[in-house]
This record gives sequence, structure tokens and C-alpha cells, in this order.
Amino acid sequence: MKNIILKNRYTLLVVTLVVYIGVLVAEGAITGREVRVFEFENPFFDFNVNNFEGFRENRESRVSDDSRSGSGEDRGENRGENRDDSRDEDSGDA
Amino acid sequence: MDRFKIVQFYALLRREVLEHRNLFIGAPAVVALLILVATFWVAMQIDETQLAEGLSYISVLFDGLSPFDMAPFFMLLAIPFMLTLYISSVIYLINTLFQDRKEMSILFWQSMPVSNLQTVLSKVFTIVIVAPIFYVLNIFAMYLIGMILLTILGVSNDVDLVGIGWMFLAAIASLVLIYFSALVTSLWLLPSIGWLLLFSAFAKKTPLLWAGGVFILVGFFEDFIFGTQYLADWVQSRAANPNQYLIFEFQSLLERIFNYETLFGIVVGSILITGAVYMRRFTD
Repeated sequence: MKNIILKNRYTLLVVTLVVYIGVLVAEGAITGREVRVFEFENPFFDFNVNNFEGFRENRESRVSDDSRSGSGEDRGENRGENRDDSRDEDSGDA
Repeated sequence: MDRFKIVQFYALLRREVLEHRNLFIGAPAVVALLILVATFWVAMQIDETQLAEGLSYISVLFDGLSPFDMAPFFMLLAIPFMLTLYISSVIYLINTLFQDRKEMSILFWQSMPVSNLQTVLSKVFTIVIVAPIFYVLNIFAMYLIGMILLTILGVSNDVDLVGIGWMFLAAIASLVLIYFSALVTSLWLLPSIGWLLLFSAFAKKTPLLWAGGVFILVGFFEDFIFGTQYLADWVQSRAANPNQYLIFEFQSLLERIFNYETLFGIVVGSILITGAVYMRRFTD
């Protein structure tokens, strides 16, 4: 076993990384370390990697609403309203 | 411990400091000089009466207050030094074992009665214990020069200097906080230290690229195979909030060192450091 691990630098690196990741994942699973996802907080849109489909659907419905409404000012208002709606939907899902 | 082993280890530490004195002594000295020059330049722009008023205000502010309570104020001045220490540490860790192989000095050191374990531990010890000492000494020198200038200014403007004395004591107390902050940060980030050392011992070329690239790949494979993000979450939870390892009061010192997260970080870091020790047997 030792000979296999220390055969060359690559096997040693792989074994070290496997042990490292194994310990991290085991500890994370045992202690219930919360898995955070990437959330981009910004005033223009809500984006959550876990709910990418929802983001796409919201985005499409928002674009179609925008094309139906008239002026740029209206678009801004609709965008704000939709954003609030999408937030409500998200919280409802949760 | 065997006296010979202690002398050996001391020699290894001395070697590290001498070979990297630019990072450990030169870099903080330059930062201290820049801060002093900037402060002096700002002081030159202010009217002398206003300067004297400001000085007497500071004197009154610190007069009679416990230096230990006022020490955290001086942590702000230490921020540039801490940032320099972090950057220097990354440069040092990623190059140190790589450089040994590149210039073939590894063959010389392996011919000496020094084990790979001692060599790698001396590098960890240098970053965790020794480097912060030089940074703190540089900050102390900066405070000393600053206090001498303030005293000269105070004497020439008839300002009561008792408060300045208290301020100096608070500055000295802050040095203890700065040193332990650097120490706890190193222990907290020991997995990062181990990671950099591992790739410094592994890579034949561009160790920093290897360290960064493999980290991204491992995170990607974890997400792809297991559907989890423990690695990313682990790194985020350890690096995102500096309040976890910076110490602003003396009471929280032991609590910061002896807590589950720090101790688990030391265990995980030890795995990577062990990998770096075994990796040193590949000298090509």
C-alpha cells in the first residue's frame, strides 16, 4: 500500500487530496455544515444557483411584460413589481 | 527534547529568516516608513495651532484610561501590516519548497542530519510564530518614532503630555493583540498553509497556478460527483469573516484558540502538511 501511495508524486497528491476531501465531506455531513449557494445580491434581479430554472422563467416573463408595456419608465416600474412578485414566489416555495 | 534537536531547529528557523528577510523584515519596514512619511506629510498640511489642539484632545482622550481597554484603537493602524503579512506569507509558502528543488539546495539539506519533517515544520513555524514577531517589532519601532515626534510637538506647543504616555502604553498593549491575531489567523488558516506547501513541494513549474487550478477542479468535481459544496462552503466559512480570527480583546484569546473550528482546521491542515513532508522525497 505504502509503495503504491509513494510510487510517484501524482499518486501521493491524489491520495492526500482524497483524504483531505474525505475528512471535509465527512465532517460536513456529520455536523450538518450548511451548504451555502452563490447568491448575487443586487437591485436589478434575484439570482440563486439552486433555483436557476425559476430565475430563467421569471426573466422570460419579465421580458415579455416589458415588451407589452410602453415607456421606459413603465418598464422600470414593472421590473420592480415583478421582482417583488418573484421574491414572494420564492418565499412561498421555501 | 534533545538539545541537539533544538539547536538543529533553531538553525533551520535562522536559515528561513535569513533567506527571506525581504519578506519578513524589509516589507513591514517599508510599510512603516510609508505610514510615517504619509503621517508627516499630513501633519505638515495642518496649521500648527490646530495641530496642538488635536494633540491636546488626544492627550485628554487617553489620559487615565486602561491601556488594555484602549488597545483595540491601534488595531486599525495594524491593518496594512496584517495585509502585508498575508501577502508575504502566500509568496513565501508557495515558493519555499519549490525554490529548494529548483536551485537543487534540497540535495544539500537532505545530505545534512535534518529530516524532511523538520524542514517542513520549520517553514510552518516560521510563518505561524516567527514572521509575526518581526512585523510586531516593526510596528513597535513605528510607534516609538511616532511617539517621539508627538512628544517633541507637545513640548514645543505646551501640551500636557501625560495622556500621550497613556496612549503609548495602549499602543504597546495593542502589539500583544496584533501578535496573537496573526498567530490565531495562521492557525485558523492552517489548511491554506498546508495547501500552498503541498503544491510548493509538488509542482515542477508554476506552483501558484497548480494550487489555484487544482482547488477549482476539486471543488468542481465535488459538486459534479456528490452534488455537494462542502469544500466551497468550508473555505467561505473560514475566509469570509475576519472577526473569527482577529482578536480585539484579551478576554477572547483562549476562546479563539481552543474552539472546535480552529482545532478542526489544525487537523485538516496537518493532513496537507503531512502530504508536503512526503512529497519532499521527490527531488526532481
